[in-house]
Amino acid sequence: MRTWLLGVAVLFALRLVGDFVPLMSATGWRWTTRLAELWLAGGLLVWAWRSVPIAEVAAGIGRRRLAAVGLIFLAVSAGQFAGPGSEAYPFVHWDMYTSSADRVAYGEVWLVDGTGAGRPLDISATDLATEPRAISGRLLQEAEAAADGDAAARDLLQRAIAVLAEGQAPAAEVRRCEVDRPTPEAPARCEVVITVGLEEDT
Amino acid sequence: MIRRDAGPFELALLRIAVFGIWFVILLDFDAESFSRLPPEMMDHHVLGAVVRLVASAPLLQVLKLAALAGSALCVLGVRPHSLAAGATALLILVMDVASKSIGSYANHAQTLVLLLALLLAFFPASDALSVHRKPPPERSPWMYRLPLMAVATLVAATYAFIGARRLFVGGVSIYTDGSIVRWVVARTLEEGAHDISVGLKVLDHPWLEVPLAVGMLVTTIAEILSPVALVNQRFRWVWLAVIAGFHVSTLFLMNIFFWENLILLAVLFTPLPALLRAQKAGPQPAAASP
Repeated sequence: MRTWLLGVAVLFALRLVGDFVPLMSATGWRWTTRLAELWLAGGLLVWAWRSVPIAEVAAGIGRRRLAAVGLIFLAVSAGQFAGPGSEAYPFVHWDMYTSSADRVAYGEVWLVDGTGAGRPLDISATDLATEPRAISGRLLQEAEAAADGDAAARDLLQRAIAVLAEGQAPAAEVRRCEVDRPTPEAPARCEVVITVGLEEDT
Repeated sequence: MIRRDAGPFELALLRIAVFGIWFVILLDFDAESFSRLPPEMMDHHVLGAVVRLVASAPLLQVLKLAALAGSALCVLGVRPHSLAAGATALLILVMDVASKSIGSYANHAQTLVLLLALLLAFFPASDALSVHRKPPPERSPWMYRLPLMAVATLVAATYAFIGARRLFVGGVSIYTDGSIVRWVVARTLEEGAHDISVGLKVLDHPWLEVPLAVGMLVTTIAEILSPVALVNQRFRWVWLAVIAGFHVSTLFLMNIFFWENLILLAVLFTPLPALLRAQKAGPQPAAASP
């Protein structure tokens, strides 16, 4: 326990110093912080399990079940510390809101009619995902690629919004909004990334 | 260690919670609209190819109904449990990957409860609270205790992982540079699953940044210390208050609500199962006076 606490103190001190003095390369720093996370969280978990008679448990549940439990823990830990992207879902890393943000960006999709008047597309009403911002974020990614000249991204964007909008408007705008210095009058700065037609012949 | 004295009832309650949560989630999923999306959109996860394969409206609808039926059967405790829960967990995995495969990220809200569904298939979670009257065979008590201990550890680990990363990646500046205000404002303005705009109040009252930052620091400490809640009952109550408070505050401030986690916390970390078991057993006869 004392060794573990000493390790936590040393690693945290290293982290604090790292804010002021560049101690190593970005890769080295990433692996140092990963090691620190593993030492801290893993150490506490091992400590919590110290009094569990593992041999007795293994005999009680059998090797197959023990392997299943072990595999899930191994995969979750690997997901956390090896850091695969979301393609490895469900073994992704838990890292939301863990690093400073001097600006936070998000996407909005607006339906526009012939007069140029607009209203936000209600993505949550489509029941396609429990988290609408994951879809608006994806549409923003495609819109930015389309604005850079990616024809496939433009086509994908157009067809995806057409399904989500269900004929509510002839065109849609994808906006990129940024929150950096929010005020009550202007909490975010939004600009149109691209406007796409949603009719069959567009 | 938490749930070290648990039995079939506690494990069955977890089964009902996990598969009940999935029933509610799946009920809302619009398979028909999903199947009309461009197939190229279904590319964000390793099972993207499988999702594209099943993304026709009739097949997806059948899979959804099968997953719903499987979840309902698991809630009812139909046996053989490993077969019902194993098949249902795989169906849930496909449906969940489908709904995640079109987004810009895989949100964490359902990840934990998905892992629990996969894990529960390996343990006799239908030995109690089941539609079957036939008593289950004699088993090692660890068959009921270990899954609950493992699942509670998995829940604690996910919090500890986030807390440890925020501490070592975010350092001190994350609490002092206004990041929390930008997150609150952006998540409130952005379309979320809940239409709550309380978060924008932070702009009218700038002093709120201080309690928000302090709250984030307290939450980070509680998250890191989550494994302690596995073994220390007194700390567990403090931890539950902070973590539950954190989940409720993210609903109002950021339009993010991990209701699944709140149910799991109630089943795994509170005396709720013991209270329900006592209620089910009914009033015990008073001990005879000497």
